[in-house]
Amino acid sequence: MNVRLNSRWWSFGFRSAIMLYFVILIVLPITGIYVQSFSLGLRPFWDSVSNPLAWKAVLLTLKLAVIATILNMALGTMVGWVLVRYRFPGRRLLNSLVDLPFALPTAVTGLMILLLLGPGSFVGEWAGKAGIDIVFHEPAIVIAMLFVTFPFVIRAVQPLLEEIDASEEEAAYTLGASKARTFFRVIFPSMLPGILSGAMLAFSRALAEFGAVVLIAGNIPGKTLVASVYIFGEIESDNPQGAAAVSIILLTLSFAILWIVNYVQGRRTNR
Amino acid sequence: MRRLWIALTYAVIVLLLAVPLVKIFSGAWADGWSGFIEGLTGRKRCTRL
Repeated sequence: MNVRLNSRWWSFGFRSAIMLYFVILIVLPITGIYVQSFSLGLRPFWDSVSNPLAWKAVLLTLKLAVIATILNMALGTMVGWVLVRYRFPGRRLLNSLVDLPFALPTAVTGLMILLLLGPGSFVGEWAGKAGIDIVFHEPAIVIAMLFVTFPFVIRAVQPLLEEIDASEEEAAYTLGASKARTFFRVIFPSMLPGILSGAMLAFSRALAEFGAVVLIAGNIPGKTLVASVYIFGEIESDNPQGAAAVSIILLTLSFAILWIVNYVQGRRTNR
Repeated sequence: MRRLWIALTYAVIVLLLAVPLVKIFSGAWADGWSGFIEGLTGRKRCTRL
């Protein structure tokens, strides 16, 4: 009786601690953003959201995040495939390098891209002579987004590739299917949930990128100013309500994406 | 085909991750050890602009 009572109290305390942690770290800050964005009423909220500079920043962010995500899906799938399926010298080193973007502060990422591609660098000077704009233009933002989101698709695809039953592939080959046909009809469908969930996380992360982008984007309003830097500018200009209004657009998008990721992963688990 | 995929993977990881990393190390020591220490201690100020 006493043991059961104790375990019930433990269970209650444990669940309460988790709920409290969740509320303090996630629910309260998000609620604060929503409250702040409507703090001056609906009209100022709408004015902030419909500001052409805000819209341009959000649309630019969406466009570049989509480009970075598509590149990530292609490169991530290829790298994940090679690292799981092939044995070659340097494989472990490459595999450990994949996680580098998670370990580096994003400001360092921005600095690395600036040193590598900026004015004064070999690539920067060559691109300048060829009339190609990289740093302080959209390509640099895409490169930064690609760098910080690089591990997502790879790390989502790798476990799925390891789980694929070799007998399915062998059966396809035995039945006369070509390598390409086996890949697209047997292997790719198994990898697809991983590619999609990795891509969604990468897209969500690219939308929120600030540290790397602020150093290399040039931050020209209406041209290279992304949403996260716009929000920072609004805070600096003492307009927290305007910053919160644009923030909830990004927040709502991120929520929708996370919901889709959970749905995709849920389907994968139920299979 | 197998070699092509491995070469492409090497190219992607080296160009996207390893080269920038090497560049930041070489940038930190661009003015030698004294420049690195000055940068670390905050005594180095911009002289190139």
